[in-house]
Amino acid sequence: MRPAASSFESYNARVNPVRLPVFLRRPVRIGLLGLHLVWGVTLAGLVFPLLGPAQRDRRIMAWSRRLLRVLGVQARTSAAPGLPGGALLVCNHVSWLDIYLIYAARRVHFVSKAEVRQWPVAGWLAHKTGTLFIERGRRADTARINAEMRALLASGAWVAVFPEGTTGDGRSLKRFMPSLLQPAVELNCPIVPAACVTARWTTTTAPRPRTSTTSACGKV
Amino acid sequence: MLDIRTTVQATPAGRYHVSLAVDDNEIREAQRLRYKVFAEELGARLSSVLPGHDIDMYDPFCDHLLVRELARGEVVGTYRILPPEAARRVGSYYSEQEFDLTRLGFLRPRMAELGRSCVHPAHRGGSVIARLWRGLADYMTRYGYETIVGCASIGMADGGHIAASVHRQLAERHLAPIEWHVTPRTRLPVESLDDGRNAALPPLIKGYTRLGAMICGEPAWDPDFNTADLLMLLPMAQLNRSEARRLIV
Repeated sequence: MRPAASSFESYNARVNPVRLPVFLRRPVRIGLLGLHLVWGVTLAGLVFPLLGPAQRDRRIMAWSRRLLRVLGVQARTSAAPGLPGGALLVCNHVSWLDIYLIYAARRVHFVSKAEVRQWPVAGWLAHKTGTLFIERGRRADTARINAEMRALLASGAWVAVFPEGTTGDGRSLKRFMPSLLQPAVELNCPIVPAACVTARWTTTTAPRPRTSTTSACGKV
Repeated sequence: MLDIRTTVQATPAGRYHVSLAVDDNEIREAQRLRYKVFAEELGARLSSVLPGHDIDMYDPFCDHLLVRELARGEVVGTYRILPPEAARRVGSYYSEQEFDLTRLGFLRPRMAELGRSCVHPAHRGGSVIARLWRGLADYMTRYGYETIVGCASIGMADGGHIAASVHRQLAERHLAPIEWHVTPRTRLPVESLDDGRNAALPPLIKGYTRLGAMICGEPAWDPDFNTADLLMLLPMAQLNRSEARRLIV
């Protein structure tokens, strides 16, 4: 059931419905994560070819929400702005988890460094979910990626970039690389800033610290 | 080049927010609203496996548009969209239970079907339906579908006279060209039901025709919902843009 939320949506409000003994939690989570990855590969490899694009987008979001649940991450997300047509989401980068936090809230196409494509499983999944891979340091490749981003934005899709180009600690921002923002400028389409903020706290009911991540969307 | 679009509403404006259902819980929310409207309010006979839910075999294949009231997070409006890829997997469009769609064969690869439209009784001011149409317009452009079809239902509590009158009025001004005509499987005998009076057009059908939708022939009788169903068709290329801008938020 969805909690009554004004501007925040909360996924997986009940992260630990069953209290497991401490020594079992880690193996159970790792086991579930493995199963979830297998399910993800099955979806992307065998189910996606049968589905229409909207259903694929839906599966990607639902899979990401479940991933957060498996990992015990409680995500609180402000409602994504209801913009007509395409938009460029610009976000800080804290960890690989950001990608699934954003997917849980909104279907976007990420722009990622080309090395990620070579990562086992994750790289293939990223490819299957429509990630654009950019070879950093090659100027000509920026032009190619910009053209692909323009095509997506013009078709009404959202594209997401991490313009810091690398992960930060979540407390401060590094310098933004401007080249990936160009397609939004050319198409005059909205830029949606988002922030991934990780919060840790302990309460009397939760013996172990839980991770909560907030991504906030606002207006430029 | 750099003129900032300040007119774009970035925060969800007003009371409502439209989105596509993502997980099964959200689809359940839509099914509960549908049950509330179709079974409890309109008295449709629904054979559902889960009490309080309107569920049918098309649901798992469909995309469900939801309008939520922001204050309480409750789903207050929904549309069900069956995209062409899903229709291929199921084997048919929902309307094919009532109409023979053979003539629409060449439209099928890019034809999405709309159905199960409903709005919570406490939210029928028109802005929820505008939100749904906004979501639908974005969906159609995003995924590149070219035609919308769907059954528009007219209640038959009066025995069908209103339905026959609505059909006659629509046939005069909004009849699709002959190549898009379809044949109802259980035809409503309109000529014997029409008493010549002009009944008011249901608001939803009026809205559709304003946007450029046409009817594809005579109505079919749906005994489960006790409605007369007209197949309506809207090619996105013929969408009345100025009207759409006015009606859709």
